[in-house]
Amino acid sequence: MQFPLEVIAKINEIISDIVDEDAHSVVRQRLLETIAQAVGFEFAMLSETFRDGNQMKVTAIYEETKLMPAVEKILGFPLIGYHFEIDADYRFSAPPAEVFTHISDYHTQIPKRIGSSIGKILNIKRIVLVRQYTGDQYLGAVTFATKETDPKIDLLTYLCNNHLVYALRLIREQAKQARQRENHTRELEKRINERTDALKTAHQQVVVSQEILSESYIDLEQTRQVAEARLQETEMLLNGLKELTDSSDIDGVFTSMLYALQAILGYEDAFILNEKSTDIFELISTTSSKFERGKWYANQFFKRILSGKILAAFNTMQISEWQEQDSDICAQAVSALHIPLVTQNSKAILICTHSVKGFFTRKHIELAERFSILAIQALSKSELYIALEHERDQLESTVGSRTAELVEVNQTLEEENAERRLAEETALESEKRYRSLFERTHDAVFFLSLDDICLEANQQAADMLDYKIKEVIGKNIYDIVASHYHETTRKNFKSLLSGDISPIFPCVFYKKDGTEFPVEINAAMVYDSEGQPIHIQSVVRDITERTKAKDALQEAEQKLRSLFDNSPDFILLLDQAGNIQFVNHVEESPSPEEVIGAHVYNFIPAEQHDLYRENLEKTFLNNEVITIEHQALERWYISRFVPIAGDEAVTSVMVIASDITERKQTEEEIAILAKFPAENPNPILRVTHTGEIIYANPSSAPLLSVWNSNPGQKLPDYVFERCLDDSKQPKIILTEFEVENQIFALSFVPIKEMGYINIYGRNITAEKESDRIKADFVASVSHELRTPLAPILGWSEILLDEAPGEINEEQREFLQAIYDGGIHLQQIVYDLLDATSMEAGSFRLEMEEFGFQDVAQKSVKFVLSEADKKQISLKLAISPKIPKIQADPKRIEQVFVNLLSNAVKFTSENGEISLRADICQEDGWVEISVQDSGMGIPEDALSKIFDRFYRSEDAVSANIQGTGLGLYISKKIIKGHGGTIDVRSTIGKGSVFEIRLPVEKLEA
Amino acid sequence: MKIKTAWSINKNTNKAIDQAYQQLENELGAQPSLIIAYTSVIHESNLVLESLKKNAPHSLLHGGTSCQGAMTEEGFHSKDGIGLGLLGIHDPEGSYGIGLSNIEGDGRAAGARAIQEAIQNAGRAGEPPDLVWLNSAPGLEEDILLGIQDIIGENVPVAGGSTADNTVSGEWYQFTHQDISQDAVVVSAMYPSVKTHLAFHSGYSPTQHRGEVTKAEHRTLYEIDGRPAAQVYNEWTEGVVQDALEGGNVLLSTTLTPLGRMVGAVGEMPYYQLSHPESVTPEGGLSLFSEIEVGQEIFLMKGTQESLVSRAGRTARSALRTERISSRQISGALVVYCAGCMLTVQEQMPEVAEEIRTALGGNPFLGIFTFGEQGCFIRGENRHGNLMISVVVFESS
Repeated sequence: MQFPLEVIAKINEIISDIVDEDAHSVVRQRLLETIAQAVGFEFAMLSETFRDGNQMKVTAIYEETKLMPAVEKILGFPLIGYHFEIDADYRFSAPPAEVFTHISDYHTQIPKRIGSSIGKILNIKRIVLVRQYTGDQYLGAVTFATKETDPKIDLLTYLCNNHLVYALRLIREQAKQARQRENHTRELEKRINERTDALKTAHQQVVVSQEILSESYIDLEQTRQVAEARLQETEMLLNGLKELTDSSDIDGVFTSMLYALQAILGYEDAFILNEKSTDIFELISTTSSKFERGKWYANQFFKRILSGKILAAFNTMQISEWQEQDSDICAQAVSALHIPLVTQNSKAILICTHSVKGFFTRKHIELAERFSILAIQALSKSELYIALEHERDQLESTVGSRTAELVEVNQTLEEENAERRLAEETALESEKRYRSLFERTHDAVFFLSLDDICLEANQQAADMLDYKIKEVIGKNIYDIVASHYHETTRKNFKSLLSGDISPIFPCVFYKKDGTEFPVEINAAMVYDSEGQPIHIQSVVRDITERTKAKDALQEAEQKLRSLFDNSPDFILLLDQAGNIQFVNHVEESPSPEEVIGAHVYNFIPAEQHDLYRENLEKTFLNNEVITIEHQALERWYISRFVPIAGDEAVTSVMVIASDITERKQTEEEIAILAKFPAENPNPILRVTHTGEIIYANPSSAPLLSVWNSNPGQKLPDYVFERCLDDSKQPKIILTEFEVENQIFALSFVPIKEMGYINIYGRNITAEKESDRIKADFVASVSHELRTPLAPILGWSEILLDEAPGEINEEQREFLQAIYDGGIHLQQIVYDLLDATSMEAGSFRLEMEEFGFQDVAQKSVKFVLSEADKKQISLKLAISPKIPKIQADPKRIEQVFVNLLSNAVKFTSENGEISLRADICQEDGWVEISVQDSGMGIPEDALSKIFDRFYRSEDAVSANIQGTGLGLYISKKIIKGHGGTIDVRSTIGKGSVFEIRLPVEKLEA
Repeated sequence: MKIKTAWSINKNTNKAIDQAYQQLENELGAQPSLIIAYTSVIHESNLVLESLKKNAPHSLLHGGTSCQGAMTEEGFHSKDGIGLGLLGIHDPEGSYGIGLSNIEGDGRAAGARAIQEAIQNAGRAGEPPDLVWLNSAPGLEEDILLGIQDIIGENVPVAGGSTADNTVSGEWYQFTHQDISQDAVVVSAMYPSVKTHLAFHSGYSPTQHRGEVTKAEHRTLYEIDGRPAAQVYNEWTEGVVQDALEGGNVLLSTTLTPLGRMVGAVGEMPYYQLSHPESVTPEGGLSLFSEIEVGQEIFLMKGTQESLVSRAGRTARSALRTERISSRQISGALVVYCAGCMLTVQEQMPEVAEEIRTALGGNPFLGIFTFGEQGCFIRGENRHGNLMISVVVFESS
């Protein structure tokens, strides 16, 4: 089909005018017109959807006849812009253009009445509805109507599908964009409005803030000004106060008040009215003379003031009290401020005036209130001052009349005072002296209360006790007195209270650390002026040294007495007349009490009298010691007369008479014996400490011959060296020398005080031979005894072991007896051999290191069975401190066994035996003890018990077996080790054998 | 000293008075020595006085009309232009006297007579009151103040407000327990047993616009800087009175842009006395609610609704702050709030009342809405102004 190009071009041109919203309605109209004309329709109506597509609006109408305005008038509304709801059937998915052709029964898009109206008015024959879609978006519909019966549907379809829909879409897009722009613009406007409102609000707030700021500033400034004003007022008030306080008299106060107030209140004049009598006032002070002639009477106004009110008047002429005054006064004092000044003694009104009406305000009243308080106080003070002055005047007159009386009294007092001062000075002096004495005395001084509390003490007292003075004061004296002296002290203090004379008694005090020391207390009671006891004064002297000295003296005396009494000599002290002043106590002599005072002649033989008298006289005369030997009653005495001199002459003579009878005898014997060495068959020599021979008796010749020495010559070194110890000093020694088949035993005896060595010799050749023979005999006998002992012991032991066969009890008993007897005999043989070798000097110890504990335990075990038989308890206590020692363990064991065996033998049933050993702390020796609870050893046997073959009578009588060699051998063994063995015993209680061994500790 | 308040929005005058007085007496616990009463003009004056005298035959009465109603610590009391408030003082140790004098064109003499009568009635002849409480018919307030000062001097603080009606149509009135008038000055000479404190603030700030009064007469400002005042004003305010330049009422539209004169300074901070343009005269001048003089420098002042609402409380605080007393130390207060401001912020009046209540610590206060305010500026000078807030605080005993 051919489409008119000019129509299309026109349509395109129209579409190109779609530039903005303003063109839309024109474009619609033109399009509709163009299309309708092109297709031959006389009427067309474009309806477009809007909002969400639920409504349509007529947007353009074309009609050829121009009857539409009339139609709209009929309808009552304009069609363009008419809204109508869309029938649900009206929107459906359909091709872009759907063409309906309806003839007069069109009923869908437009209301029926419109359609029927239009149809009738316009003579419509055919109606074509064209729906416009873009995609699935329904744009709207165009309704074409024609009078023709055959319109150009195809062209209509083409134009609608290709151009109209495009235009409508374009229009819609533009409308949409326009709406968006509009929305955006609205949004912006809204924001702008909001901002503007906010700014307005902020501006308003700023304005308000500025107002507040201004108001605040004004308030602040006002406050500052008020504060400044207050400060100034306060300063003025203070200045006023100062003025007031500087005034002492009332006139001065008033004057000060007026001038002070002037500065504060700023008045022009002021005056003070004082109530002279009730309601009548007189002027007492004024700044201006014009007020002096005023007469003032109180009415209500003044009465209110006097009640305490400060009142202002803006116009004094209206105040009744003022109305009484001269008019010129009121003319000048238009305003007034009335201030009450009411004290206890007066009522006054201070009136300030000003010529300006209403000058005085509330502020002035407040200032005046502040000032008036101070003013009234100043006034009160002045009144008080005046009152005081008045009283003073009265007093002065009284004083004058009494002065004369006082002068006389004063004189008397002065005299009394002088006396008192003197007494005080004396007392003070006395006190000083006493205090000096108190402090300086060497003795301790305590002042005690009557209930024994120390009230005062001097430094010496404190030093004595090792306290400080303040520690002593307040102490109870009985805390210081030793408890065992409490009774004595109490008794003595009590005697003071009963008026006895001051006691001096010994006592003991405690120092601060509790140590006791002796003191002597001299106590005295102190009385007050009424004779009442007030405290006890105690002077205490430390008598420690005196006591020591006294004790020492007593001790010395006792020693001397003991010495004298123990001296075998007579010791007499005689006066010049021969009377005995002192004598010691000698046994078998009269006691000293019997002889003192008697004459010495009464106690010496008559033949001695002259001798005594003569020597006594000489001694007294010459003051020298005289010694005489004399015989009396067949006894010899040596008497020594010793003068005891006083300051100038001999006062006494001590006679010491020693009995020298034995000495005399000895001297005789010695004289006899002095001949002995020359006749002694044994060699006797005397050598110096260097070995030079001083004397040798004739019997020394063989020795001298062998030594090739003579008196005056030295002994050979090999001889002299034997008597020297390690330090080359002579020592006592017994040694043997063989000379020409003779054996000499030489005893070297150094006499140190004489400086020589005596050598006593003895020919022991025969003894030696005898010993040799004895030793050979013992050895031979021992051997002969041991030979048969061996099979006896051996076979009996084998039989007891039942080696050959069983044995019965009886057989056992017999065999055991045989064995025991053999053992015993063997032991006797051993002991004999030991004793013999010890006797011969051939006994040797085999020293080795061993532990004491082991040896002790072995020893105990050896005797255990015998002890068990007698139910004797056997204790062993060996100290672990004993180290390993160097000794002969077998011999030590032998000693222990001997002692323990003896203990078992001599202890009865249920007894106790102990073996103890420990280290002596003092010298490091081992101390061993074997103690038993046996029968004990008689005292006379103790010294012999270690002798060879000694057996006590008790042992013999008790039939206790033994050779008497065990203790002898034990002692030899111990002595061979350099130790000692002793015994202590009590009959019936037991014995203790104590051994001390000098053991050497082995080095680690 | 005890102070209590009461109020009523009952349109029946008797009932309103009865109700309010009963509440007052109950809370005071005694007959008040002095009742200060304000009512909107809807309540007829005779009825008001009769009812008050009936309820409190022995109390002194000081009263007048207040625009739209009144406010107390309980809020803003006005409904359909009807409202009244009472403040009762029970102060046996103080003295109070009331005087009423008809103005009759001579405010100065009226003021002088009124204060003399009040002082006499207080029994304090010759004694300056601690405070003079003043209400008068609008128009001659400055003269009235001069008259008062002629008698008692310049140093007694005077506070109060010009009685107002609801429509600026002269329906206001004043009354005491003895008399009623529509053109009188009523003063109370107060000698309370406690201290009083005052504050008188405007709350507007000067703008950069200023000029010299080159032609004026009484309360009409004809020219500013040689030009018609209304025109200059309109320029300054960017057209606030544009619609009335040919003449007409501009009271409401000029509330936020009054004219001001600097009358003093605190430190470096000046304070202003305001003049509220009421209408544009046919000559192109501005009719004001206060006197203006040739040669005075005037400023365009600016305020905001926010400041109108908040400054009432601030003014009350200021009265306390200067003397460093706290709200706990007061027994009550009287507040004068410009009727023009009230009408501007009418919907926010409850907030205004709340601001004052908070500032005064919840203590009783009676606030009135006036066509002019009198108060004591910071330096102690008593002045009449417009768009001001005047607060008088009574300490507690």
